[in-house]
Amino acid sequence: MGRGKKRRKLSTIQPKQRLGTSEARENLPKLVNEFAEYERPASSLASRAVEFGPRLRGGAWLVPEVDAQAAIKREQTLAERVLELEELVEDLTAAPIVASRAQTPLEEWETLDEFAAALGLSDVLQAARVATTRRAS
Amino acid sequence: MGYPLLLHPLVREQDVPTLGAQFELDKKAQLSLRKELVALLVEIEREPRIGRPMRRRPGYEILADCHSLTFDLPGWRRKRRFRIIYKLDPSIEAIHRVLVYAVGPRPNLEAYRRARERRQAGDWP
Repeated sequence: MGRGKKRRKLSTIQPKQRLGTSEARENLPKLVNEFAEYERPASSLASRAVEFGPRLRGGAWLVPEVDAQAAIKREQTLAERVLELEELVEDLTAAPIVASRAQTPLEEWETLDEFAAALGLSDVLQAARVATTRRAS
Repeated sequence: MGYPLLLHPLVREQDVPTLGAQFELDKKAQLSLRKELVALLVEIEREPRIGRPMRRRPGYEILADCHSLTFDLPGWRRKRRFRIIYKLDPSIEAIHRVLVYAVGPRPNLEAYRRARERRQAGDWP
C-alpha cells in the first residue's frame, strides 16, 4: 500500500514447478516439446502447469494445450449445468404459485384488455397488437 | 388475435405493483417494464409456445403445459431478471387458451429453498 503497486491476489492452487523469467526463457523450448507430447489431459489445469515470473514470484503460467482445452471444456459443461439448475429452480419455485392460483375460479380472471385498461396501458396494448399483426402479415 | 388470454387477478393486484421494486427500479423504469410486459403478453396471445416449456417431474404435475418467458427492460444486455409463468390450457373444447399465473422476478437458490420447505410441509396442494 502507498507505493502504487498492485497487490497480486495469491491463488490457493499453485503449480508444483516455479521458474524465474530467465530460467523460463532458457527452458521454454524444452517445456514446449514436453507439453506437446501430452495426449491426455490432466485432471486439473494446475497439475502440470509451470509458474514463472520475476524473482520466482510467479505472474504467469505455462500449461499444456490439452490441459487448457480440457479446462475450457469443463467450464462450458459447468455453465450448461448451471443453466439447467437455474431452470430447475425456476420450475420448482413456480409450482406452488401455480398450484395456489389455480384454485381461483376462472370467472375472476381478467382478459388482457381489462388488465391493460386497469393499468392505464390500453394504448400500449393496441400498439403492440398492431405491430404484431404487421409483423405476422 | 390468436389464443384467448386470461390473467389471474393477483397478477395485477400483487405482482405488477411490485414488479421491478426488487431491483430498486425507479418509477420510470417500472412503467417501462410494465409496457414491455403488455407487449410480451400480446406476443404470447399470438403464439403461446414462445416461452420455455417447464419440465414435468414427479410430484410437479401441476406444471404440465406451463411455460416460462423471461423479460427485462428494453436495452438490458445482461441476464433477464423477470419472468411470466403461464399455461397453455386445453380445457375449452378444442380451443386452447392461455392462463397467466404470475409475473415476477426470476428466483434464486434462496427462493428454491423456501419453495422446497413449503412443499415438504405440505403447504401447497
